[in-house]
Amino acid sequence: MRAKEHIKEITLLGTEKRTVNPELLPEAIQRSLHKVTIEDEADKALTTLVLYYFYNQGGIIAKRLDKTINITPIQEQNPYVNNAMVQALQRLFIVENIMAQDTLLQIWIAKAITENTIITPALCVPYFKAISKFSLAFKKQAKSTFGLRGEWLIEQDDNFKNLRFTENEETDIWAFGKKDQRESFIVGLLETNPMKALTIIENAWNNENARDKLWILKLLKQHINNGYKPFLETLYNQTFAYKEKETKTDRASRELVAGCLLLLENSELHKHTMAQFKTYLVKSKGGLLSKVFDHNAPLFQIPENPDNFFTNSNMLKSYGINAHETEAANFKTNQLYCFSKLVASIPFKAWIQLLQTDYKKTVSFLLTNQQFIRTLKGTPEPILLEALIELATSTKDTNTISSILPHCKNYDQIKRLLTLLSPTNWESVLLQNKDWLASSDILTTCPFGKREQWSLGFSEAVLESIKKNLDKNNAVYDYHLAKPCIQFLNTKALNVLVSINGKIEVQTTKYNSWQKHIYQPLSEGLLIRQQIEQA
Amino acid sequence: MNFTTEQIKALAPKEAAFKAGQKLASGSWVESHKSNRAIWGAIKGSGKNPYLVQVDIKNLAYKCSCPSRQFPCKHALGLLLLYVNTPTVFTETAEPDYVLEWLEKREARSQKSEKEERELTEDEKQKRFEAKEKRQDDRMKLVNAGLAELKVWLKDLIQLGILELPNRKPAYFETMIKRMVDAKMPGLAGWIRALKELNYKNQNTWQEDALSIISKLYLLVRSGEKLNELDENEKLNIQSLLGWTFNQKDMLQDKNLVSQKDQWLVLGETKEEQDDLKIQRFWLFGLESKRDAIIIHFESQYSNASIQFPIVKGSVIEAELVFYPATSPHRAFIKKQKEIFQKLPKPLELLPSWESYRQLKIQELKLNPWSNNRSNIIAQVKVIKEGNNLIVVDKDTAFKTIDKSFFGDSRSSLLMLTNNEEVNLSFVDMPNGIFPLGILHDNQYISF
Repeated sequence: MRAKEHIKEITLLGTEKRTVNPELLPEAIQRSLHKVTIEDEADKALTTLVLYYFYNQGGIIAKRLDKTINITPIQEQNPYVNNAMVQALQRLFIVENIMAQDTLLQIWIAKAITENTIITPALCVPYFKAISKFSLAFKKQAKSTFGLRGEWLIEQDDNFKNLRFTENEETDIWAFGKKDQRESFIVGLLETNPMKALTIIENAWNNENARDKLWILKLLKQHINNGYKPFLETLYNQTFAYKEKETKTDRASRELVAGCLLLLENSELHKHTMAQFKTYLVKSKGGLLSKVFDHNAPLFQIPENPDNFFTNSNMLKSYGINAHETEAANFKTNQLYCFSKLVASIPFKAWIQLLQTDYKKTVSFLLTNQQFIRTLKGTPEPILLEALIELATSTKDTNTISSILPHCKNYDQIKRLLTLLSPTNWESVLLQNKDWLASSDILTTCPFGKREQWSLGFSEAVLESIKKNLDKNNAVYDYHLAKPCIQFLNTKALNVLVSINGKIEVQTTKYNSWQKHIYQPLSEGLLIRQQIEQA
Repeated sequence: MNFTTEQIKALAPKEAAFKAGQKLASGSWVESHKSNRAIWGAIKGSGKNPYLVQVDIKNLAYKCSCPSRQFPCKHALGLLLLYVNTPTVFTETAEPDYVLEWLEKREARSQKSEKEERELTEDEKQKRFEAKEKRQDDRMKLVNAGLAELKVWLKDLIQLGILELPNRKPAYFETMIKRMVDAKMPGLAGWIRALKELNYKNQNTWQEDALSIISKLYLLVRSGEKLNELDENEKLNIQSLLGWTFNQKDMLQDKNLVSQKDQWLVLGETKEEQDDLKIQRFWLFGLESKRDAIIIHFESQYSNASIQFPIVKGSVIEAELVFYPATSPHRAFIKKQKEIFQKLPKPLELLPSWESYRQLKIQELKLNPWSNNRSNIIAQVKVIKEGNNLIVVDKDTAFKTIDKSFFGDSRSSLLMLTNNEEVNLSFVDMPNGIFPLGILHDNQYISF
């Protein structure tokens, strides 16, 4: 140490101020220095520095740890994914199409979770990096594939700190997250654990602003559950109860709360409303309608003039419906407008009970009865269709959806309903409308689960449809087609894909477009999915 | 040989070439065949006829009839990826003429260089030797003048003290750098450049770093002065450090140089960019010879110099290496490559402790005091976290700190793979700690 300080002092300050004192150096250096011919003081300092530096290089003995290492290797409890899964993942990491990569990774993770297996240590780092970009709900789901070693690494390595889940994670996201993060988090919870979601919502309710409250109520209505009743009734009777001077948002919130309560058949509001509706039932007088309905089935008649129930004031106070909205101008009377609003929130079962008939006939009544038809530019239009679609979205009742779908002409309405269909119905509806098969907009409405795939027949029909469009347009213009196809196309359809590929003339614009947007991402994706399936 | 996708990615000259290769791996191959030493195929391209692609899988090499200047081209990468992903599409057939011809030419070429060696007459050798001697004499005049100048510069520096170094203007260093280049000693110019580029804002390190450079530089100057008194090997070592360049063709014919046939484990690869120059370093370890070697490949944006024998980290190559002249040979190039393996053919005898490594290092420094960045493999060590540092502890609880430049994914992988267990760790000994390269487990090597 003494030597080091001495040499440092000389070299830092210079030989003009400090000179070498050999006595302060180790003996070995002194001996060597003695043998060398020294030219001057600078040479002596430099030579000493050289000797000391190389003496140190060889002489430093590695330090010893002054404590015992009490760390034991981590023993995994679950088996690692097998070799085929490892290979599939390695291949997946270098997939060029990012959308396809995400989709395939989700399929891979779903398989690993199903088989209760964990990631191999060698792949942990790229795996964690890939998962980091997903939503919190998904990351939490994937957690079971991390293994104990993986979780240990996450704790040790700040690169993966967004994979560390704390106890307050959920409330933190709900309290401080961005709107999209909050939505993705709460929707995930509303679908999987509605009561937990409600507790989180209730706890933070007073801190939410009016617009966010409105947004939360919309989400609650789309995921309605009987357990929400006490919370909703408090809101209905207290927070959003009618006031002489109220804001538009408060009125809209009451409309949503009332809508939620109407969806719950055991709520007071629902019972009260249905009791009121009974007063509008009339007996069939024969003729065309009696052919539609059972012989003794009652009919429902909206009053042409305001009565005790269908008054603007009652509608506003009880249901938050504002009959002065511009939208109301589309309806012949305010009563019809208010009725359409109520239809959007009354479950179909209640209508069937009220009208004492079945789904099909009830839908037919609500969509074809003359009182619910308006004529726009000479074309008759059902005025309750939008309300029924909204109802189907809230109740997700497949019978309602199947009954409404044939009446839909508008592309957006169709898309909204397709997402709510059962997988089999979805395929059969699309097969009846083959023009839709080559549209990524329609294909992304696919209601299939993460590890499900389209039937072979359907998959072939999709590929044929894409090819038909390609022939027509000479290029693929729907650049998002590959994503749903990579995720859901039947892996056995790979042969069809290859066969279509062989039929397209190479080095043409058509071929290049097909290769880039369809063939390459699909063939790559399907091969990886095959590998995952067979693993 | 069985390649992995990651390894093929490492062979690609550019990321874009690999991506293009990936597309072709699922593209329209007109045919794809294999034999025990090669794979070949034909793929539709923009030309009239399909491109003929061939890969020597025993002694990795590629050829393609496409006009691309990238090497390996996307077609060769595509064929390799196809071979990895769907080996079943390759049918085993006899090698067609164009493949056979290429493989035979390659074989003949490697034998030809040996032949050429024999064909040189004594007279020719003498002439070459004399011409070389003359060139050396001319150069030595420049070198001696340069060394004298540098010695004065270093003496001045130490006379005034290095505390002044952070305040020096760039011109102070640059003049001497240019002078060393003029004196044909780019090696010394490099050391002075390193001194100029030290991080003088870091009060904790710059003084130590500067002293280390100055001491190496001064020893080199003094050794350079006595070049004629040194034996041939020491002389070549110093010349190499001063900046003499050695032509690989000449080296192949110099029987005095060390060459080593062995099975070489490719411990790892590091990439560095200096201005427009890309420097690729491959760290190799001889399974029989226990010798470590470094292969350095330079590439600039103007030269598309491809490495003659593609090296895949983590694999074992059976090859003959020729070492650059040095008292303790380290830098090498591949003279001949025969076979590539994915696994170690047999267990390897490893360093038992840090102390044994130190003994080895002392021997090394005796031969070559400038020796640095040597690689080796140490057995049964544990990697543990000590504060913000990672340390590698041997079975005697002696430890070395891991260099701070080892971070990111590699650091995460090291933590994950070691799992508090005893592992066999390969490393490069760097000035500020060791730089892990990979782990050897059950004759299987995993590089970071």
